[in-house]
Amino acid sequence: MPNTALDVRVRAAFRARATAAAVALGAQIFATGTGLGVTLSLNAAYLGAMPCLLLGVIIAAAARRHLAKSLGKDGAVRLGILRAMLCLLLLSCSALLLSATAVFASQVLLAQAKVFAVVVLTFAGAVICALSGGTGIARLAFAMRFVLPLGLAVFTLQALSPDFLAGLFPWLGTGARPLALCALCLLGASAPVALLFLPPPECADACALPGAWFFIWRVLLGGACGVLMLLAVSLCNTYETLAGLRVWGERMHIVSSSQPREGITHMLLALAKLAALFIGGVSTLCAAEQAACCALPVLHRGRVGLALCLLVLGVVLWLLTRWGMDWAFRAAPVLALPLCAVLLLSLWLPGRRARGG
Amino acid sequence: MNDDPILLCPLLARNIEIFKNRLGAPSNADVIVRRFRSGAFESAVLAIDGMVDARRVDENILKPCMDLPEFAGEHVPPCERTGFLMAHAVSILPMKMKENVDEILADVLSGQCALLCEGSAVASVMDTRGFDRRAVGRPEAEQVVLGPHESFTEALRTNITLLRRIVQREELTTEFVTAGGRMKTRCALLYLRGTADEAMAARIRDRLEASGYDFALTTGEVEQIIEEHPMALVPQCVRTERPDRAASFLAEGQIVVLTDGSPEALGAPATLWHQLHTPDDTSMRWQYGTFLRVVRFLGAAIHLFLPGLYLAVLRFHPELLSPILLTSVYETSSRVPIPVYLEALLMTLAFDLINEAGLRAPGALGNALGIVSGLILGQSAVSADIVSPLLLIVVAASGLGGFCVPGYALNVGLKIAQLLFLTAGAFGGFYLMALLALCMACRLCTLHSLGAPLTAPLTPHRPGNPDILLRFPLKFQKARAFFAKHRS
Repeated sequence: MPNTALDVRVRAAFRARATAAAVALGAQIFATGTGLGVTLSLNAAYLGAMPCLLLGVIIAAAARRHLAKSLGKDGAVRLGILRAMLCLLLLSCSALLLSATAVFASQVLLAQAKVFAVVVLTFAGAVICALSGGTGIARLAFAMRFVLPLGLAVFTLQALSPDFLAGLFPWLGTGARPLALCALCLLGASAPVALLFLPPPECADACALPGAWFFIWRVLLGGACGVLMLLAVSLCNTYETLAGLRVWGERMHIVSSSQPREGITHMLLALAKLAALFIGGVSTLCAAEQAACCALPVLHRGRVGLALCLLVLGVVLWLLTRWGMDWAFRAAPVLALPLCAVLLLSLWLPGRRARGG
Repeated sequence: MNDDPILLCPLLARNIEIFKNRLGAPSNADVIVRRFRSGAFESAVLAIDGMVDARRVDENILKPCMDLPEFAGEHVPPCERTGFLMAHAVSILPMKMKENVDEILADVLSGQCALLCEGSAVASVMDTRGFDRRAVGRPEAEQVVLGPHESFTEALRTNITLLRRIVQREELTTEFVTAGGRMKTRCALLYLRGTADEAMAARIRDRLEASGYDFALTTGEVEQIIEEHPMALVPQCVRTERPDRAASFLAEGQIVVLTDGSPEALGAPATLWHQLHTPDDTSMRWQYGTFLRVVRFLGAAIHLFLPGLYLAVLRFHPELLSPILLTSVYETSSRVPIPVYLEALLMTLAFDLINEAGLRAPGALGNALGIVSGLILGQSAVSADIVSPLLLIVVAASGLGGFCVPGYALNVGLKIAQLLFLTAGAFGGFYLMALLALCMACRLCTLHSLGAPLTAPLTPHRPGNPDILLRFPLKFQKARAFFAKHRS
């Protein structure tokens, strides 16, 4: 092995995982925000996403606390239950994000292709990435930690029209109550941060953990990107325009400028969004596999855990091609329930025994 | 080969018989066995004709031994006679005392000669290599504008010397390893003690010694024995034919592997960024080096993506082109009878054929081939409406981009990836290309070279020399690579 101090490698692994969680959070906020939030409170959806961001920070802090208590301790039953719930939660997030990737791609980039074909391609891509384990996708997310937000920011700014501020009004969108409902429904979008409850594969044994802020500020930045993208949707579309948009892909459009070559800007922006959705989807899929293998070690043999996760994912994606994305977005708020259960379970777990005791 | 080693016996005639049987003498005419009287006892020299320097053997071994007085060595115990001759007659440096028949044979076959004495079960093996070898010339594939113009040769000792001339440090260590089963190839592992991680050198040594192949004649085969991911498109070691570049590998903490018979050195561990660096980057000022690296990186990206992007835009995203350009493209494409994907494949294949033919065609013919193929065939194909002019430009630009990639191995890997992106662009547009890029990048992030991540220090983060894509000024390069034992 290269002569690098163990803590440097451990920190690098946690850094990559935290970045993957941040990307997944931002992508889920944007996907659910445009899928559900915009339909409820139109141009104030970005305000409704703020509580989700806060919840993401709380989950990150709780995850760090949980890791400090549980690293190196695999036998507890309660830990097994927690990991099983994590597996289901993360698998749901993965299904949502990957289906969003496929549907968005078919609506924006491959309008002439069948949705089923695009879904199959997306699924194949997810399988190829998941075979490398969670390490590859986390490192990829870390490599794109500046490229993605910068690209989104630059292309979004290029897409704004001169009177973009009109999109902010009315401030509360359709009203305070719909906004509160939007905030409640978007809480489940912070579920991808739960992948921080699992240590990176390289650090399964007890090791020196980074501090809580190490995770918190990364999650904060990733979520903030998602919220800012929702804001961009509001800035690019007036209240009346948003009310008339029925197709989810249209609500994700961030283009209002009539500058030449806006097609290129739109294309690049779409690719950046797709990359974020895909990375988020595969990160949560790999984390779901890890959680399943930790809950039931027998699943580790022959990548049976991955095969099971892929089977469930495949079924969900197939159902999607028949029913559309709307049912997935309507079900998204339900993710808040297992998320709260995971949080409570992590608080309930006993502390790690002292060494030698 | 037997597990029990065969050792020499005290009888000279028996030892000679063993060697003659193993080498197939007397039908094997290359074998030289010269018996002579050396003082009070008999001795023999074993060598291969043409491999040894006959004059050195005559003047430093045979003559001094034969000139010994008749009683010289009569009181020396028989088992110490070989040592006696080495101490009092033979004047060759270096030498080793060996008793294993297989080891002695391997040394003799490499050009050394063995001295055997009556009564002694130990032979003295001396380096008397004198075969013809190529002089140190200019690098063929790594030419630079500014910098040294020496390159490695096929002789292992010469290459080690070339490195030692540059790296004059007491920590520079040379370990010899043999690779291959029946046809052994000598390799040398060079590293700086205290700078390189000796565990990596041990790993390379173990892999070479444990390889089950009959032979590993070239650096390329040695590289394939060392590497961890044989199915990856990206090489995991960096190759060079320049001693100055190999010396920079040593200074960074890498292990340099030299192979007898190959004029190239391998540096490991290596990251992806090493494949994109050239000696020009370092020997020029940082502004020029940085600019050239950016150009190179853009060239690699154009080589990889441009044909696929062209097909994707034509087939799935024509709205990205201006109406004038779009009209022109459709006008020319409408006259071409074959689908645009096949057209692109054919052109890419034609370019690779011209490339390969130019490499294999001898001398002046190779130079003329490029001109004939490029100008005449290309022009004729456009005139005959077999290909569209814009596609010709795209393929040519892509090919030029490929020539910017310094490493030939990486160049070929990128060519294969280019075909994948071409297909992805033709059948799935930008989305499939993006998906493929993400999958490849994800896989790339998990590859290792002797345990060092291939994409480090970009991802995962590792502290070390910030000399990745951009070439920073020398004063900012205060640390070695992350895989070195001591980075400062």
